[in-house]
Amino acid sequence: MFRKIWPPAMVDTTNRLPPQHTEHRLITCIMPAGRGIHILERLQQEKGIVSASVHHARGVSTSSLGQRQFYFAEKQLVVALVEAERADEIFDFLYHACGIKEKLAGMIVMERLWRAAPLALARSQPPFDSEEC
Amino acid sequence: MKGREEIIVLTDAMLITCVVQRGAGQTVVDAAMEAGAQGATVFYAQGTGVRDKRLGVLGVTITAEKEVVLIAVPSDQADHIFERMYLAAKLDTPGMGMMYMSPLEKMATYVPQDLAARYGRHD
Repeated sequence: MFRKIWPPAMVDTTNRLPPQHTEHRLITCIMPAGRGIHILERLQQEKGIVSASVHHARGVSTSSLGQRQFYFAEKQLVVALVEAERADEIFDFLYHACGIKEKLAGMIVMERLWRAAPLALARSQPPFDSEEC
Repeated sequence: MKGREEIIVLTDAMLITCVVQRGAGQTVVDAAMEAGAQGATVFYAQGTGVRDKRLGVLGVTITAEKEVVLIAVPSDQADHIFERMYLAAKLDTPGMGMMYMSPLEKMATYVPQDLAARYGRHD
């Protein structure tokens, strides 16, 4: 009849949590605005990477200042969380897909992470539409 | 399969991230550029924390709107640029923001051909 409120029921979350230390890398790609959403789609469709996001930013550099640009370059950032084994492959893919090798295009960096939890998808939900590939 | 040209990868770099109140980002960028940084990326964010209870007058003087400054710098200049940014952002004042520096495993950007040829290849 009376619900027991103390002590609170202990919930075993051991199996639901990611390991204490995981081998993941965070890849951040800064590119001219307009490319971000296409890169996200390509990451998902061609590489199966869904743990990624895109947002806007403004960029300034010594090159743009030297050319007396008195406005900020509009940029987009794609941030992708990937497993360490695939980090180099995804780094190369993003480098080429984002056109980083062009002058004033941006840059791509990769960081080591201590602990990460990638985006989990429902079992019934495929990571991408296989018919599109 | 189409072959791809190899990527010139830079190592020994740090990524400095500085979170400041909206409007203070440009000051931090200017200080970093003066200290030797080659570029910066700035975006907006919203912050939360103990400001609601502890800082400012009734918590209203600390704006929740933030600017985040990202700067990739060579490792040997990182501390100098970090300190200049810290002072410019007045981060020793409570509630002004925070910053951190993390090592980059690698980075890549546009490298002019003459520069790449001058420094050669390091395996």
